[in-house]
Amino acid sequence: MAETPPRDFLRTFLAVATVVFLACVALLLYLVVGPLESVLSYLFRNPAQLLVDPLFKTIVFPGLVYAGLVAYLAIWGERKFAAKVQNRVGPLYAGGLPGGILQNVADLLKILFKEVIIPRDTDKPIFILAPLFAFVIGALPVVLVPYSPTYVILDFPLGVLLFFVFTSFYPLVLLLAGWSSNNKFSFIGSLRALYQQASYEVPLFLAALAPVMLTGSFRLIDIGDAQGKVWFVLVAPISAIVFFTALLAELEKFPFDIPEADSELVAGWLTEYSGVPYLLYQFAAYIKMVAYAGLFVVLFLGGWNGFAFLPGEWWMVIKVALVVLVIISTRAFFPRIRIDQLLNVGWTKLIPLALLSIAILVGLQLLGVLALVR
Amino acid sequence: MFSADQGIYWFVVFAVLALVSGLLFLMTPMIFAPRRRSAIKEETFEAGQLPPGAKRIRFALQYYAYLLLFLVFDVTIMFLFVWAYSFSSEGTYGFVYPLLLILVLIPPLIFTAKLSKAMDMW
Repeated sequence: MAETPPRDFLRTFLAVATVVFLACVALLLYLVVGPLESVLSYLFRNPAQLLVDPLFKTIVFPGLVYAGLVAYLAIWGERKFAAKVQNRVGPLYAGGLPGGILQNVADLLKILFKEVIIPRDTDKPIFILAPLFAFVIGALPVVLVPYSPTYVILDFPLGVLLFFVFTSFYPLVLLLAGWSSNNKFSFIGSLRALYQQASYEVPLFLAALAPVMLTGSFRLIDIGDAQGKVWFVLVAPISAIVFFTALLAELEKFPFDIPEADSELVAGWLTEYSGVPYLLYQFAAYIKMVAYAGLFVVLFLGGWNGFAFLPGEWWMVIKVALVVLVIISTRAFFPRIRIDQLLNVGWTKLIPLALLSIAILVGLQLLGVLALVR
Repeated sequence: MFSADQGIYWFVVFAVLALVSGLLFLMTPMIFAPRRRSAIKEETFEAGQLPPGAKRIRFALQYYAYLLLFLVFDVTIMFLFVWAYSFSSEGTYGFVYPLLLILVLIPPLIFTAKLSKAMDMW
């Protein structure tokens, strides 16, 4: 039997990717060069305007660079924090003074030049493109989170809903990755992720309903502004707790990191991934975490409302950092639960609690208490 | 009211930037990294042993009932969202509607509680 020569997929992919890349660059130039001219002329007239320019917002502050930086610090902090709790040292040498803070840069550089192993039986185009989809879809919700009424990229009237639209695409990508890997661990892991993320979307939606009810608006800037007097975590504490729990499950963070349970499933749906595709998945997960933390702060923790000695964006950044710290500290403090326990808790405890919270809000409104809050 | 045009423009810029940076990351090892192929390296990973038989297994969807419930809830919640939009402006009559909706949701919830107990015996 004559052996068919292996299709050199990488070369084909490289050619296609180059074409796509050039097309993207052309599109980017077309989109950016126009405003760039006006920005530059604007800059020389009034340098103070630079910091509130949409280009600056998109690329630097609530945009890619900021989200990437927080994600970077979160990865480092997670390693260091879990190490401290477990009486280990964690990253230590790279970067000098604050305990190995450049360790992730070293890891990134190492991974960038590692061989990408693509197993023979995978569905190769989807196997390689799924991490890219995951990266883009994971980064999209960042656009919607306002850091103050000025610092927002996309001020959408139905922001809460659009955020959930973006995050709802994520399980689809996981299923693509798990199925195209053609591996038992990957497949079971992606199915578990699907169960988990589909189940916890319902309590997440129901809990996010409380701030929407209190403001009568889906616009995230309106919701943040409405918390000038009282933070919504005090008005609807049950919803806040349900939202945070569901958020941990959506992010596959620790008490709920069943899809990636390394003692049972190697790495879940990430089993066959190595090198840069794996890196893209991790980036996507952590940038998604930044977006979710921002949404939690805007919905329940008062957004940019704080004491007057710092501008609102700084309060938002501080609160997001604290929420991210709480999210990553779960890795050190909690054991992993079983998949049936997870589904049971989600459907029989969190959803009734979220409905109860809505009923309480209705009661408060009828008693006229909510008028005091507004 | 709807003045998000400018925002949507920058949203597209953001998405394209994310796509381009992701592509750059993906292409870097394809240009620079070594690629030494071998049969055993490209075998499906199964914790050290060679995979026996088909890799796409039949998997028992033992929690499918939860997914059916997801369909019930996901549709019903949309009506709650519509109602929440006008929560503060409605009169007393407006509160009857969500209570009815929550009452409709209670039977599937009880069904789930029973189901999850039955599931423990699996």
